[in-house]
Amino acid sequence: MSVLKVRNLKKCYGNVRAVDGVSFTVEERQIVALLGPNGAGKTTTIEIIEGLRKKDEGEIFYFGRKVEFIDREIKRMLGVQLQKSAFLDNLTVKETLELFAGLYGISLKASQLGELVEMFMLQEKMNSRVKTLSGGQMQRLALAVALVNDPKVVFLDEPTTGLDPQARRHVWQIVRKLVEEGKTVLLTTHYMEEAEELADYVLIMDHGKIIAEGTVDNLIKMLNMDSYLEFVVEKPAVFLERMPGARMLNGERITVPTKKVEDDVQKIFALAKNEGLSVENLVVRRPNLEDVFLSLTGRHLRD
Amino acid sequence: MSELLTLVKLLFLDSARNKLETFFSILFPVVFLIIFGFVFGSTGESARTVGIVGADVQVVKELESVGKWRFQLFPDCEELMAAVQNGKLSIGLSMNGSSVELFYNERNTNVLGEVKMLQIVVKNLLEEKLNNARSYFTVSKMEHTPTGKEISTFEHILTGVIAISVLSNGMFSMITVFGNYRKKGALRRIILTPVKPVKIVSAVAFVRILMSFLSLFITLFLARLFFSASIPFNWFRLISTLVFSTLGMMALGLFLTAIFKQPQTASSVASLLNTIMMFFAGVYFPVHWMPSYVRWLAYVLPVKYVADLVRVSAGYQLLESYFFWGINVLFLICGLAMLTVAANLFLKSE
Repeated sequence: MSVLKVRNLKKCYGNVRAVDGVSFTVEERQIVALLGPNGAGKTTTIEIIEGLRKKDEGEIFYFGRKVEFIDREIKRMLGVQLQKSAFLDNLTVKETLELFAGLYGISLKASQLGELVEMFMLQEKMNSRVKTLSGGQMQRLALAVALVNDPKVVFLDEPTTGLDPQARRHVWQIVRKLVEEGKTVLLTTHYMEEAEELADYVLIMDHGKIIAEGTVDNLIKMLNMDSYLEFVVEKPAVFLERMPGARMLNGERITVPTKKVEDDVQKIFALAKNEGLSVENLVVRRPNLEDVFLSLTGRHLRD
Repeated sequence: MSELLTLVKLLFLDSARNKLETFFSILFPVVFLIIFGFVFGSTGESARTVGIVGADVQVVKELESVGKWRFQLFPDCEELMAAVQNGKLSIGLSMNGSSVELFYNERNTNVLGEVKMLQIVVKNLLEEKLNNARSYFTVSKMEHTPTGKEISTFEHILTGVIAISVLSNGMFSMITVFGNYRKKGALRRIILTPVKPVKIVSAVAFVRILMSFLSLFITLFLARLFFSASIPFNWFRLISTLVFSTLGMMALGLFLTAIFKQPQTASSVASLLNTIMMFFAGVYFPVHWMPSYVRWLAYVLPVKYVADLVRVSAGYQLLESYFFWGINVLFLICGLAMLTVAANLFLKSE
């Protein structure tokens, strides 16, 4: 059964179409990633579904039931981590978790509280006031709050932004564990590694629309490329002109799609020799979601 | 119910730990109480220090019992005169048998009335003591005060402090909760829980009323501790006043939060209003002390009516019942109306 179904969702701010006819379905126990650059409309989409923003048009179905607005019954089943989290400044981490449990009509047992703070590595900060937390700790508290009501569906809006790589991997583990426990997760991210690592299904968004969707493998197969070559040269213009499909990556590396790795590597070195240039840091890698986005929009995810 | 209790408990904790809010709603009025209390004393007037030479202890005690002066003993007349001449003292009193001399700076017109009064008091006292004189006639003065019991300056300030604390407590807290917390996004996360907006605003209002009572008890406790002040309140009236006027002042804070999108702007405007109301609403000083051309200002400042209600509850001011309850109901209506607006404006989907 589908947990969430969204049909032709639209939202405008003045003349700007933030969400422009978005439709998708989230199945039970799935991790669905809404991937796109900043300003693509991911947050607006997820906030409409959570009940934070009103839709202009479209239909939302939760567990097969069409909902015009997100009522209390639905809210009880949702766990939400907002992109920018803020809580009452002068409460401690423990009190904040108790507050939110109370708002869901739940009384947290000491063992449940302990489990939550341990899960998000907040044990040492249990009695610290919210206003003293660092960005990463705040993000982890927001994630803990999202799970305080043992939700069926969890919305995570850029859950690992601001976290260090170790904490990011830790969050990924938790997300996988949530699905093992029977929960469904819809997350937004602009990290393609995060989507690749976690998502069963990826929705790629740009300019308020879903421009591609599918499993990570299927999306990559759409590129019809075996590999990508990446390297650094002093004068990239020559390579961008003469190598088909060549693009700049992060303003310093050249990336070239290839089906014949050996031939194209020889071609790169030959071109470099002719121009009197040296090729550095040449790597051969598999295609990824960044390449998918690049091929669909001509832009990078973090542009 | 448990949702409401949890909200009240934790909002109260958050509020009590907010240093700025606590300062404005509790400490700031208390600081004023203490400063003015020490200046005016619990009797309402400040006692002037008068230098004295040649008086016996019994006479000094009798003079001090008038309550108008404190006396500082000097060893001789020269030192006393020097103290008056260099401005350390305004009045000096020398007693030598049946002769009494008063020293003062004749250019200091502020003390002329007091010198005259001291002269009469000393003369009467000495006549009574030395000549064992007794008055043939006793003239009693029966004062009729149509505005209630006579109120001293200190009592006026004390009741004003209570009013100002209600104002600060209601107004600033709304800017914190619905301004700052809305801007930071704390309210957005609360909106996503199943708790009804009406419960959130009820909890916020309840906490503010609780804080008003806390502030009242601290103020009264300190007034009693430091200045032995004891005001015979009609507690039913005072409790009603505190509840309704806190709601009224919350309405003012919510109004500012609604019209100024930036909480910092709302906060600055609130601080300005707070200052204006402190000095122009008859809170710390009676309205008739102000120049006549600014007196109208007091009547448009809501805290004046809070102070009036507190003074009526203390019996210092008479007000027709319908007027007293009318103002209270008006505060209640404003509070409830603005809380409804707040629930719809700040606690609903965007």
